Amino acid sequence: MRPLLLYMALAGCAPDRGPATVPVDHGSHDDSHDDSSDSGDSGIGSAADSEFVALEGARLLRRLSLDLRGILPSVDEMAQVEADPAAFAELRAAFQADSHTEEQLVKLLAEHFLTTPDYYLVEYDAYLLEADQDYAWKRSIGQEPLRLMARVILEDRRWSEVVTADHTMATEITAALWPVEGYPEGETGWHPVTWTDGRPAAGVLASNGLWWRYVTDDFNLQRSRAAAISKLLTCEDLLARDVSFENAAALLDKDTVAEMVRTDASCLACHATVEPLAATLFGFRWVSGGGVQEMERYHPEREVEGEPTLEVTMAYWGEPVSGLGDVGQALSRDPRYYSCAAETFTGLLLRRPTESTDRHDLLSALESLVDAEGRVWPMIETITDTPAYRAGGFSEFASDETRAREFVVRPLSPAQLAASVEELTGFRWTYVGYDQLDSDTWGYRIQLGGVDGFHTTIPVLEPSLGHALTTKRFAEGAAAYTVAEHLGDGGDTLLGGVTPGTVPGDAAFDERLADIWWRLTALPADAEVLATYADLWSAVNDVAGEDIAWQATLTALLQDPLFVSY
Amino acid sequence: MWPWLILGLLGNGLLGCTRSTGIGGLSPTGQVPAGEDGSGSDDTQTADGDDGSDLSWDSGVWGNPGEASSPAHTAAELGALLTDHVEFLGDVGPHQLMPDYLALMAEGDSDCPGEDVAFGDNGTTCTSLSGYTYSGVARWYAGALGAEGERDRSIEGFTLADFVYSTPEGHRYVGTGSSERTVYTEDGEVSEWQHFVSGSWVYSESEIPWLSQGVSSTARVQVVVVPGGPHSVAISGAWGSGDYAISFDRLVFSDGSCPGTPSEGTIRLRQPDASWNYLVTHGDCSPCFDVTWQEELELGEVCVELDTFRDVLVAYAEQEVVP
Repeated sequence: MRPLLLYMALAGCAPDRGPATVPVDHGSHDDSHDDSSDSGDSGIGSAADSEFVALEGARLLRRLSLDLRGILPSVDEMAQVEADPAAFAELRAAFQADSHTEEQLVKLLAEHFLTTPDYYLVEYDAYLLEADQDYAWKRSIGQEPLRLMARVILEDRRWSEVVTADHTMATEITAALWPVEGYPEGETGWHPVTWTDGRPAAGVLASNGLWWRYVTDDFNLQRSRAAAISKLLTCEDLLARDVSFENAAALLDKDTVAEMVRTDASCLACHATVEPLAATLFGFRWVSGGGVQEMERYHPEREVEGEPTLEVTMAYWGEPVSGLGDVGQALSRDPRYYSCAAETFTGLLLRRPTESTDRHDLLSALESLVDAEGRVWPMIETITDTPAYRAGGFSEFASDETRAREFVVRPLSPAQLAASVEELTGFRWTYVGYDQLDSDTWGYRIQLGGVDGFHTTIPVLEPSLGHALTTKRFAEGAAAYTVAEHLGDGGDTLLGGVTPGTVPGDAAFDERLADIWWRLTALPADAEVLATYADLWSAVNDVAGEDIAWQATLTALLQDPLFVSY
Repeated sequence: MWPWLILGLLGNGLLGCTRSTGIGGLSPTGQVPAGEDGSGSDDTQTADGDDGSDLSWDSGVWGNPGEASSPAHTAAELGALLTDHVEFLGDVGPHQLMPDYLALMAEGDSDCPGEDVAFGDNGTTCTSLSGYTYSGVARWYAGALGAEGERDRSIEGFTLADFVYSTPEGHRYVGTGSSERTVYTEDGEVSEWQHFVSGSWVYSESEIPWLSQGVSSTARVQVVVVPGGPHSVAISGAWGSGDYAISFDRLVFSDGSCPGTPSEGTIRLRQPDASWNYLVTHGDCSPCFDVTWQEELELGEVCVELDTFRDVLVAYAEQEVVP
């Protein structure tokens, strides 16, 4: 949704509505959320909200844990919320410091910023890396801006730092290859570093990861990157505006285009904004289309080529700026930067684009961001308090529009599936270094509905054959691994607590099966569930023995719709 | 604090459902132009609680004020810096790239890289028997290109480079871009030379300082033969290497009476804070420049002798091109 529509909606000015009172002090918090707002309308349970049946207890915690940590809640955590609903808020607050949260935030943010494709103009072999380093190399590129954002959130720094920070993030790979300093000796993984090539302090705007994804050329002259800044960080999608093709043939000529974007009224509608912003990005201009040394380094001496090349004065939406550093500062003062953050995180957590019907929730999210002085975590908490987030089903009052819009049952993303199963079994599906659920050239991220940021830009939430087949193969692999490595070993993995020699009907067996079901779904196992899986176990045991019986049972459990959704 | 911001936002155009600049009359920088609808509405407050007529997002908790940029040098210091820059970078040219390049190629064998100068195609990687690794592509051309108008044109250089060559010790020569020396002849007489290095080049073991440190270049040098007088020399583009960053807006040495001083053009030197100093030629046969910071703040005047720099440009241009 474009910000103008959002703000019109916030003000009750959506095209199909007349002027309306703006419910500023609407609130949307339940009593578990400590907030100064004392609004009477609590959101949950109000007339508008009665379209939903809310998740509660362990099921709600499961959704939250998957969205914020990417993994299932532990048995202990589920017991806490089952015993005391107030524990939900405490656990949620604790998730901010959880070691899994950064990884999940990165995967979430990748769905908006689209910086983690499997393809860049520079491949691993250009750096003389080995093939089995390719996956780690690619994610070291694409996750660079996302890691900075995640750290800003988790360290309770202001969102403005995302576009003003004087540092970036690097792995041991990029720290060794790119012009950065400050990477700790002997360490691995993500650490803050500073650039040594003279690029201005502009956070993600000065990151290689963003501009290796959003490339330009000597015809486009940074314009597409300016449009990307607008779309990603202010939610103004200039490319979504109507374009006249009356003079389409002229668009093939570089000089004619250069003239049109300065003089043609239909072009100026966007290019009056695009050109001055594009002129600030010439330090990232690559000659000859790219290449190792061109792409990895910023080119300070080219900064001043933008204005004469585009024949404009550098500016950010009409505000004169002197370079990219100023753009970051201007963004950090732009209200749309924060409303876009509210819109982005709301959409990511609702697993769908925001719409005018979300106006109250968006305003509530923005309010939290302001209250927290630009810190994002409280906004995330507010979003996860909304009825739309907590919806686990539709009530009889749900309209057709609501039913069509909301995903009350959401498929696990590839990242959630991979992280959850690894946490439960120790299994991570890799091939020649590629994470099979987080890559596409050799993996299955897209088939599982994921976003590579290049070929697919929104997650697929509908069931599909590709999803089913990939899940099946993944489940088979995870089950085989778990049985081979952990069956009955007494550890905390899913099958670690199995008592060898027990069969359906034995208390130890039935308790174990119920426990596995509870851990996988946050639902108590009823008799039908137990009987279904016990029958499967017995049937396989009869022909192949106990180990294969557990392998078959776990394979089925890991494909169960109640596990692969949330 | 938030209700004031929200109400202010709504009060400044949103309720009127109009937008002149940015959101609902609120400019993207948060300033509401005086006199616009809502600018004096009762429910409008500034982020810091003032009741002024402008809704300001600048002074609140949202953004970072940033450190104000300011001139880092006097005009005299910039003159010294200019001298330093052209001494360090003034001989960036296609021929300078070659000795180290050819030496690395000579370390290979008949299979890898298998050529004396050119190498590979996209995705090509090989390791020689001596342990040198060659990766990428280096397209090389030397020879006549035929007539261009009334003139004949010959070139020598990398038409496309995107290579990484590595020694057994791990030292890398990385070249990205192109480089070229061109000679135009007319009736058998040289009428013009051009040379440029485009892109990024680095070889840590080079004895040339800028190549050892790595150079980024878009600069093109044009030397036109002026019958009976000194050659006319023009340079446009930019060079960068480490802390050095210099950009030429068509700096021209053309006046026969004072060939060592530029007759037109601007030189720009970058400060570490990413602001720029501008040195504009007087154009009066003096070696002096008017100096400003960001083209706004006048820093005075500085005189710099650039005749040596000009001579270097001419000397490298005049080198014979391989036919």
